[in-house]
Amino acid sequence: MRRGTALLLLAPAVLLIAALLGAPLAWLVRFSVHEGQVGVAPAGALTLAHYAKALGDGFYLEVFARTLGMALVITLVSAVVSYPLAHFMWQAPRRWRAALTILALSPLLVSIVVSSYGWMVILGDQGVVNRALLATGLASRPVKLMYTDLAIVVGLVHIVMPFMTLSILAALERIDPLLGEAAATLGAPRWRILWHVTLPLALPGIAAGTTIVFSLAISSYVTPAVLGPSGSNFITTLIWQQFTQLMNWSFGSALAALLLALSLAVVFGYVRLLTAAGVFGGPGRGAA
Amino acid sequence: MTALHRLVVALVAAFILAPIVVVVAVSLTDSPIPEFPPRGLTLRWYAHALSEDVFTTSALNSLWLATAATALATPLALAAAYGLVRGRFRGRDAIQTLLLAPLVVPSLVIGLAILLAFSGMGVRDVGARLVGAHVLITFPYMVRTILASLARLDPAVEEAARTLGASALRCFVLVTLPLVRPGVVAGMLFAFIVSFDNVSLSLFLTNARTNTLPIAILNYVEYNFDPSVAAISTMLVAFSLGAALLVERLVGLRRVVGG
Amino acid sequence: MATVELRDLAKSFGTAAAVDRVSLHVPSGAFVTLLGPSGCGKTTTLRAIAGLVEPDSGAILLGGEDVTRAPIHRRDIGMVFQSHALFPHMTVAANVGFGLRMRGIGGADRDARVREALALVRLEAFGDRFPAQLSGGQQQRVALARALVIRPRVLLLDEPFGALDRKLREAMQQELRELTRRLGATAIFVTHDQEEAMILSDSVAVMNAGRIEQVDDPAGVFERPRTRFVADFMGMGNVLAVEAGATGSMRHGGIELRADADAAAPPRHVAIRAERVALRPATGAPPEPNAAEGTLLDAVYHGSLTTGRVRLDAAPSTTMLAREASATQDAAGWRVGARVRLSWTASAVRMLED
Repeated sequence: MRRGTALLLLAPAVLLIAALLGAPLAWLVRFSVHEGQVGVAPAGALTLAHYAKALGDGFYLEVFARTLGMALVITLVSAVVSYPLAHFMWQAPRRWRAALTILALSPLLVSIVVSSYGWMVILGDQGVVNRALLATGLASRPVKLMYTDLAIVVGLVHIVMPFMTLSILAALERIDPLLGEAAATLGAPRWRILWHVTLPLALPGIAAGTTIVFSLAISSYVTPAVLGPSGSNFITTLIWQQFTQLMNWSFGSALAALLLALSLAVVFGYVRLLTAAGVFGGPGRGAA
Repeated sequence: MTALHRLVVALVAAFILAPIVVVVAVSLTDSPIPEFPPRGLTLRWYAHALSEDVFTTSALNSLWLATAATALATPLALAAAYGLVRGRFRGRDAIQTLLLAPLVVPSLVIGLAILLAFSGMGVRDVGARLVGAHVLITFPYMVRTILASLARLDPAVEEAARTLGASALRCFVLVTLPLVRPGVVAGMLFAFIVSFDNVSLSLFLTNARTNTLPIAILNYVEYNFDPSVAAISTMLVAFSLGAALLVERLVGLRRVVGG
Repeated sequence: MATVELRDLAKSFGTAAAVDRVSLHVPSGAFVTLLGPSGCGKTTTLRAIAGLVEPDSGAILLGGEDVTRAPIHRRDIGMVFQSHALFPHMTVAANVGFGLRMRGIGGADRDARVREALALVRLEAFGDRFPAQLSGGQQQRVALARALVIRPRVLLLDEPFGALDRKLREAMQQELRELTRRLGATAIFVTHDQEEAMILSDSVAVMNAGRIEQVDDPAGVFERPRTRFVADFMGMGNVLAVEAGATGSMRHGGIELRADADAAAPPRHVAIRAERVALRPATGAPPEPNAAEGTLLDAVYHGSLTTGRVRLDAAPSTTMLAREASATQDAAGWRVGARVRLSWTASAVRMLED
């Protein structure tokens, strides 16, 4: 295909991204460097004060730190929970594949409002867990599970799991099955094959999954808002509050721009870092 | 596979399915509050859900929105994917990254940016900004699926058509398109689900009068806790999983989701 | 069918020259093979003729008409691909009829020509099947019928039998040979298999590093290679570095070589086909031209032929190959470690250009 034809075919799509993503993001950044707003447009002098406030004020820094900390926990838990499933999918007979894929992806295929509602029913004061605890006598009164950080972790791990599982599975599928057999003929028991052969080779997948999951976790809004404690305890809920309750669009835009920068830095920076460290084993591999 | 591994996988599967199973079970309970395990069996919450205007109106909105977004994203994605796969020019990778960018920008940021920009331009129409936003986020999934389908197509098949006298356009219509059709259809289905289920973007772009179904559900549970939400959620799940099953049959879900 | 003429054709990918000023004339009705190792530019040359690759410079003429910049679909060529490249969503008949459909030929005319083409490759009964329901050999025959049915100016074949097993490949070679002779088709065939090239072709163009090293009939490239590369690629067995010796002879170490032809310039290398070297027990006779004594390092039996590797006394760093029919071997002389005498005639010594 000639270059001109190819570029012509790509032009509408590039225009779409430019118009619906590029321009709005530029507009958002414009808001963030203006003092304030008049009506729906940024107004006042150009300033970096909003960024200085977001990065200089202890309260906001704490929210950032809390979000990053929660994202870290969610990432770790999701890796630990997803690995056995990915490993199982890798070894399962072919005819189970469709069912296992649907299972692994179901959190993604079911609207987040549905799973959130499900977690409410499970974690609520009169929910499934608490009734079981009371019935077995493990607790004498309901334990507060809903509207806690624990609920956020549970809900978010559930939602991000498909990405982690698929990333790990993709790495596992690149492993030459003969390697395990070779290790076995050399006398390695199963757990040592897992530790010395499979896990190291799955590392690129775990790394790629970690990237995606971490960036999804820091930018999630619905789960912390619905399942988490009230008040602004995530960057995203803080941004939401600035826009809808405090009507401080410029400061909210600055926070949103920072969140965007942070999540792009995670996606691109982390991949580069890991590539440099040799985790991705060679060109063309890794980032899912 | 050891017994321990199986046990762990069973627990993980239980965790994945728990909220969905609970929702489905609750939708059948005969008590006015969501109870699990359900007490008695009834379909009355389904009847109740279907008689609620907030659900039916918003469901129609969602249907309309997902259809419009998919219809607009499809030709764009098809052209772009074909250009990417068959074109040879510098900056290909950069353009591909750009086209998939809506997947790496946080939804919340996209939603806010579109809200601000559309208001700034004086576009107040909820429908317009919803369609715009949904085209943007469904588009990358379609590009990815079609790219995967095209990558599996032997370029020699197209070359054969060309040497036999087919112009580039006829070659595309008679050979390429029929061969990637499963991928295109799968991409459309997945785009439809993504749009239909979306919360994080719609949250910023809907208003009290124009709602999508997931947003209506979210609003409803804030003030009501009766199992009709479970009933409507179950219908939503059945719809999404049905479409997903079709996608899996057509091209395999993993090609669409990536990873 | 038409003539094909390539004039100084060149194509680079990035900085690497894939095709480097290739000129070739293919007479009407001739079967020409581009032969060479992978990466030698043979496929790029073929694809340039088809229009699938746009050359950087040079010209391509089909039947005297310059088609260098003509679009692919206006060139009237028939091409057969290694992967068959059948349209999986069309029946065999629709595949074969595709080119006719593109030319606006329809109805009974098209059906008749499709039937005729399928008969040509003995697949009359398979018109309603889909490609996936055919064997590899049948698929390749459909591809051939599809390329021939449009009565192309030239038939281009890109390693069409590469994916077939040996037995099937031989049958297909036979079939292709008969078919092209019968139709008087001009054909350009690409392969890396020298045996296949010789079986099929009227003439063979041996390519290396983007250039044509030699064009000749099969016996010519096999028996009379002009360059070291061709000698090596055609499996001459022995390529020896030589210096000019006394009175028109040449020397390799302590061995004197004589050829029965005169070279314009003294050659730096000669080739001697292993089959033309006789291997006998050593006699201890004094050195003479075109003979050498040495030690048999090993003897490799490969069915009808056996190859002996000999380290030469007069040039200890050289091992020469001698290949003889297994049936005629002298058991005593072919013992590993034995002292042997190699000899060859002056007509077997081929002087090479560099």
